[in-house]
Order: sequence, then structure tokens, then C-alpha cells
Amino acid sequence: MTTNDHTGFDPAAAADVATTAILADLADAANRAVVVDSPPGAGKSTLVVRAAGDLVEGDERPIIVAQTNNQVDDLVVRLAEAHPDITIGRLSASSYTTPPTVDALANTIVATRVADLAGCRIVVGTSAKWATVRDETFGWAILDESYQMRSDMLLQIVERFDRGLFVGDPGQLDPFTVVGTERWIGLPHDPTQNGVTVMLEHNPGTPVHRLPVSWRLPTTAAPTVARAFYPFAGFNAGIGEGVRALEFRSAGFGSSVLDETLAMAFATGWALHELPRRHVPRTDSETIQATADLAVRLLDRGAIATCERHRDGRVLDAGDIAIGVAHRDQADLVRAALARTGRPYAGQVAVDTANRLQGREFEVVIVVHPLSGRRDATAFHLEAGRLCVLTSRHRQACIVVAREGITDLLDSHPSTDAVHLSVPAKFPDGWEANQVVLAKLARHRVAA
Amino acid sequence: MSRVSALAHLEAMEAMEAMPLTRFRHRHLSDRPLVVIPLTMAGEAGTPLAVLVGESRRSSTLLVVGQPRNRDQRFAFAAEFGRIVMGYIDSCRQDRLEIPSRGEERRSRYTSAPQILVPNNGGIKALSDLGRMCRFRRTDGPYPVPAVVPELGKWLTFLVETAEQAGTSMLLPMTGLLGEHWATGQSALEDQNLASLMAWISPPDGLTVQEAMADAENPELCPPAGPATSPQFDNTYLAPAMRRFDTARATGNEQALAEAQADLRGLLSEQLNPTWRLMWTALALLRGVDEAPRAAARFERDCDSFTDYSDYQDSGDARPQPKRDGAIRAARRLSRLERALADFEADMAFDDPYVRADQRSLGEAFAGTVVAAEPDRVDITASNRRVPRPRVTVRTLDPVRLVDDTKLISPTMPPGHKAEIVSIVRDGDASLIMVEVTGGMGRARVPRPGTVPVVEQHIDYLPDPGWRPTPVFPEADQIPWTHAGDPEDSETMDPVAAGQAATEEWGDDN
Repeated sequence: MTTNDHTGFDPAAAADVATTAILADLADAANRAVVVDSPPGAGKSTLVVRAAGDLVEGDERPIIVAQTNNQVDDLVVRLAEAHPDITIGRLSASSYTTPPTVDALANTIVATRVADLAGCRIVVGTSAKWATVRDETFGWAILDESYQMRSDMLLQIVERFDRGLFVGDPGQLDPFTVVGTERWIGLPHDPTQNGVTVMLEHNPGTPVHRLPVSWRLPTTAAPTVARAFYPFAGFNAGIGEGVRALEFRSAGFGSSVLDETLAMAFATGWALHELPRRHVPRTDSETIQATADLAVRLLDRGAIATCERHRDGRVLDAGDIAIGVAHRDQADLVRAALARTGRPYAGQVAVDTANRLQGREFEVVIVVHPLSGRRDATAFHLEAGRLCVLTSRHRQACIVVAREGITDLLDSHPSTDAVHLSVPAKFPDGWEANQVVLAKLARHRVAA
Repeated sequence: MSRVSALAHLEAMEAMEAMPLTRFRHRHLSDRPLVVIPLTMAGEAGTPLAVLVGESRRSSTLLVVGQPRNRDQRFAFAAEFGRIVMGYIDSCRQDRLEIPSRGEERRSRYTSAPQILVPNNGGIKALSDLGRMCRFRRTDGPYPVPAVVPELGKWLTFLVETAEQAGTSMLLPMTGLLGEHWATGQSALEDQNLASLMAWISPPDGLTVQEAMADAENPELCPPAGPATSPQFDNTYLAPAMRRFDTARATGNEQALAEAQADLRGLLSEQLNPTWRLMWTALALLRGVDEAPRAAARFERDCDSFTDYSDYQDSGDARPQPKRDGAIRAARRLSRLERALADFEADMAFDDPYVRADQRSLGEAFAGTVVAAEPDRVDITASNRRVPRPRVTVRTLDPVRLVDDTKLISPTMPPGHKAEIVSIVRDGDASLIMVEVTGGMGRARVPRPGTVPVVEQHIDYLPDPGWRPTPVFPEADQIPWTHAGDPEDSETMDPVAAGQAATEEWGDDN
């Protein structure tokens, strides 16, 4: 399933078949819920936009539930462009300021109450906002990023709709709670679980679809990401070999390690920038500096990216680069390191934690490995979702910065989490996923 | 662990004495707490073996189950323990105070709430197991128990559930109370041992911390604080004593039985007495620490929930807490626990400069000096009203990580002070934070004196936890389709079926 072999595989046709099947299940009145699992960059938003249009054509008035205001705004823009003849409602909190992209749309109304959106055929809002709506019910809800919505949130909004389309990426980070309690472990309605898992537990006949093609990940990344994080479902890269490429605009003067790492990433789509073995705190200045230096070097030398959207190549700017880390203090330090370089573009490089990079897309992503320099491998740092988010945001190349010795760390810290009754084993296993990614990176290693 | 608390632990290790982590004690301490040290028997989960209980250092009651495998003896023990606990709870239900409220319903609450202190988290677990064992028992039908047994079960379950909620004080582990206030040079796991934690904070007279710690690890000198007993003690003393008790009971030899019982009591009181003394010493130490200003308000909330549960018990249709939370109950509880935790952390930071230092080291609060002020700035609201909106710029060396528009409160300004971050500009190692004062200035057009920070003033700010709407969940008997379908869900079951589900096979094993 996770083959890299493109002979006889037509990604567009495969994606079409999947979409048709999903829309057919939506039309089937017997289904109270339909679930769509989507690997990174598989056209989830496209599906949401299309399904919403289909439901409106079928004389429904669907609502769309997303998890953050940014996600809602993105969806509103895409919906308004795809369906110019439909009025879209944007349900918002009173403290919300409309961004210019939404403000500019002619067929969109922003309001704080559902009653003010009576003329809208599609109403979009965050789950937190929908949780405050009372006494109004709709036929259909499309729940976007539903694997990031906790089941107790679903419980607050479920009375607003009769049937639901749950769309999301099961490989990303699970929702969490800061309250340390074990009292619900193993219950089918554990409120700390994600909404999709709980819904499926109580509605076992629900059709579950998978989108088979990632349009974002390049052919170099899709097989590894699929094998590490989607071991049973699998998916293929939608864009064939040779379509995407990166090259430098200028030659590197002198041969620095940074250039070597960049060259590796440009040529193979992956690079492991490996710093000498050392136990360090997560705020290790060498790691942070190397990360910032790589981004700056890439932008200084100038990179031309060729892809299906820009067949003649396009010069990458700071907005095409992201730096992903595990902790907020690391992000702060990377931002500070970038600012110190004095480059005017320093502020435009997206630097954030895995949680906040979820759902976003960049050309090149530089990752500080969550296990870099650590003495122990905790569940937080081993979590498969965290590494999955970090290594699946890129369209061209992914560069991982790490201290040497992660393999040894993994070998000396096998998973020791307690096993609980009635809790199905979680796949992918974080430990194994880390091993798969490291095995891949070992072949793209540049010693710094 | 943040930098400040890590530093406190390192300092403690270097100085070989415990260092205070907080300026105040953030838990209310009752004048008359009930100290309970439960012991369980090894081998069978949640089997009570003994308990030492009392309201003062000098008057303790020791209850022992001679043969814990025998269910009749277990419930006889539960009934005795229940009478003591219920006597204590009833003593907290003496005075009721009317609370002025705007609603039509007149409300009142008891002026005090129970406070049970156990040595460690294991003690809470032991009480939870005991509560689970007792609360479904029937007073009629086969194997009836005294009415106080299910009553004890329900109350213990209630107390254990409150203990999960941050900031409550009705059931507390002593190690948790001490660890909240003092940092030691040992690991968090070692801090779970009451004796070795106390060795750091207040070693016995004439002993150094090292000597006291060595003693604390020797089960001969410092028997474990429970609920598990030392395996060596079990093998060498407890098992033979129990066997003698069983034999005496089987042969009906009254005198031998009395001797065996006295033996067992002697053995167990030797195991429990050192912990008993430690508990009261620790309590005295904690009483010497000032109580945080906001602990009183949290105690009133304890009184509220105590009153509510007590009224529910008196209402006649009181049912035991279900074995497992249903979907709605679980979601409600999670929301309550999360709120309580957020509120408790915010309260502690507001009250306590040490806790604030911890937050400041994480960039989640800041303190600095006002370097510029625009005290006369005025804004015009949407309704065309002129309101004072002074702005001040605070210079701080803290690694601030708050974003623009964050709402702020300040413990160093008069109550009601509210502000918002306008912008943060880095200035070398320092940050210049422009803050707009939005509240707490009085109703007049000019701010009341002292309500706006002035240049040179030192000021602390932290994020306003603010008001959040209470989440609304469906009614417990109308579980929506996404969460319904579990036939054992206690909320969907009718009471008769629930009663049957609570029936368990049990009886006299001997």
C-alpha cells in the first residue's frame, strides 16, 4: 500500500474514487455519521468545501465546525470562492476582528448570533462558538480537524445537528488535558479522548473513508511518513517524481556544513543536521543557533523551487520556510536567534511548536528533533503525532536538527507506559515511528 | 519544573535543608482536622487491615481487622470506623449561616467543613477503595450491614472526589501539603515518603538531615506510613499473629482469642504510632506558615459543596455515586476539574510572590518599573462616551512570552485593577511593555488617585484568568447519539437494574 511505485497508479483518479464514495455515503440517509481520515495534505479542505456545496445542492443548510479562528477564516475564504452564488455565514465571538481576506468577500456575512445569519446557506464557526449556540438545529454538520476536538466539546455541540461528517487527520497530535486523572481510562466515552474515537465507539457501523493521496508531501517524503505514522492505511504522493525540485541561486563560497546540509536536503528531500553528541537542556544554544543559521543561509543564498504550481521555478521567501520545535521556550529562542541576524525577513519565518503548526503547509521545514540531546524519552517527546506534524508540513524538503545519540536514547528507553484494560493499543507507536524516521534520516546525515 | 523551583531544590540539596517554595500556605487548615492513617493488607486490593484515627495528637483510636479476608470482620470494622467518621462529619454540621443572595431561593451553608488528613496519596486511594467497598452495601436482604456502612462509603467517595479537584481542603495528603510549601534535595518519588520528607524539613532533635534520612529509609525505625506495610513485617510478625488469631477463633478459645487480638493490636500500633507523631508534627509546622489571603474564599467553596452534598444525603432519595461516570457526568467533571486547576493556579500566583517568580521565569507573568506614563489618555467608546484609558510602559528583564491584547491583573495595584498589553518591544535583554489600564479606576471621568501606575513605580502583572462561560452539556438522561449506546452506562440505567448491577458476590469465606 505504501509503495513508491507510480506505475499504474493514477493519483487523481484514486482521489476521485475516494471523494465519490464519500459523497455517496453522505447522500445515503442511513448514515448518521461519515468519517474521513485524511493524511497530511490530502485535500481535506477541498473535500469540506465540495461536500458543503453538495449538501447545499441537496437542499440542506449545513454548518461547519472548525477548531481555531484561523481555520474558520481559511475555510470561509475557500467556500466563498468556490461557491460565489451561495451566501456564507461566519459565526464569531464578540472579540473577533475580521481579517481583511474575509472582509473583502462579497458573499460572506459575519455575525455573533445564528439568528443574524438566517439568509446564509452555510454557517461556519469554531467549536467553542458553536458550544454557546442554543435551540437551533441543522440537518448536517461538517466537523473539520475533528481529531483535535475533545469528546466533551463534541458533547456540547452535538445537539445542534442531526448528522455529521467528521473530517480529520488521525496521525496528528491528540487533544489533551492538564488535569491528571485516571478515572475515565478505558471508558468508551472518556471525555479526554478525541470526538471521532468516541463517536465511532458508540456507532460501530459508521463508514470510515481514507483519502489515498497526499498532494503536499513530495515523493521523497510520502513513503516514510506513511510507513512511520499511517502503518495500516498508507497513502501515496500525488505529484510524481521530477516535478518538484530545489536549486540554489548562488554558489556557496567556502564549504560550510550548513551548505552541505542544505545541498543534501535540496538533492534528496531530507537532511539530518547532526550536532556532536551531548546531553543538553532543550534550550541548548548550539541547536537553536544551527536551526536559525540554516534558515538564514537558505534564504541568503536564495533557493528556486520548481513544482506543479510554478513549473518555471519561483524564488522562496521567508514565508515559505517554517521552523518547528517541541516547546514554546524553544520557539522563543529561535525567534530571538533569527532576530539577532538582523535580516529584514527574520520575522516572517514561521517559528512555532508542533501544536500550532498543525494543518499548515510550507515549502521547506526545519525541525528541532524533540528527542535531541535528551537523557530520557518521555511520552511527550515520543508522541508519534508530534513528530508526524513536524515531518509532514513540507512540499519540498525537511531538515532535522538533532544531537547525535537519539538512536541510543530510543534503545535505552523502550515505551514503559502502563497498559490499561479496554484501551486499545495506540498505533502508530511513538517509539516505533521514531525508529522509522531515524532510519530514513540516517541515510541523509550530515555531521556538523 | 520551572527554573525557580529547580533552583529551590538545588539550594535545598546544597544547604541540606528544605527551602520554602511558596511565601504562604495555600490550603486552609481546620482547627480540628481528623487525622486518618489507613493500612491495607497485602495480596488483595483494597482490603483494610487497620486504621489509626483521631482529632488530636493525644487521643487516637486504633481499629484492627483481625482477619481481613473475612468479610464479616471487614464490615464490622467499616461500621466502627464509620461511626467515628460520621461523628466527625456531624460535628461539622452544627451551624448554618444564611448567605445573602439575589436569587429567590434562600441559601445557607454550614460554617465549617470536614478536613481529613492522610499521610500520602496512597492513603487517599485506600479510603477510595474503602468507599467503593461500602457504598453499595444493603442494610436488608442477604448479608445486611449497619446503616452507617453505606453512609461511610458515600461520604468517603464524596471526599475522595473532592480531593481530585485542585484547591480543595477536605481530604489532603500530608506529603502533598508539605511538598507544596517546601522543596527538598531529594527526588519527587522520595518526597512521597512522609518520614524522609520530614527529615528534610524538621529532623528530630539531635539528628542531622542525613542521619534522619537514613533512619527514614529503615523500616525498623520508621515503619512505612501506609497504606502498605513492610513485607518483612508481614512475614515475620503479621502473618503468624493472624494465624494465631484464626486458630483461637476456630477453636473457640476465648482467652487465646483475646490474647491474639491484643497481640495484633500491639503489633499494628507499633507500626502506626511513629507516623501518627509525624503527622501531628507536620501539622504544627504547617500551622506556623501564614495562610494565603485567597484560601479563605476557597474554604467557603468547600463549605458550599459540603453543604450541598449533606443536603442531598438528607433528601431521602440519596443514591450512592455510580461505579463509573457516565458520558455527561464525566464531561461535567472534567470541565469542573480543569476550571478548578486554572483558578487555583491563578489564585496562588496572585497571592504569592514566590509562585509569581516561578511564572515570571517561564515568561507567563512580569514585573518591572514604569518608565513612561500617559495618565491623561482618553478613549471614546462605541457608544460615544469618553473613558479614561491611561497607558504606561513597563521595563522588565523577565523573559515575557505574553502576546498583545492579553488581559492583565496586578496584585500590587488596588483591587479591581485591570489592564491590557498594547505592545511589547525588545530592548536588548529587557522588554518594554506598553500596558493600557482598562478598569479599577472608579466611575468618574478622571481616574481615582492611586489607580494608575506612575513613573518609577514597581509593578507586577499577570494574565487575568477571567470569566469563562460554564459549558452546557445535554441532560444526563438524554445522552446524544455520539456518546450513547453503552448499556452499562449508569445514567441510562433504571434504578432497579442499577441496584442489581451493584450486587456483588460476597460472603464469609471461612
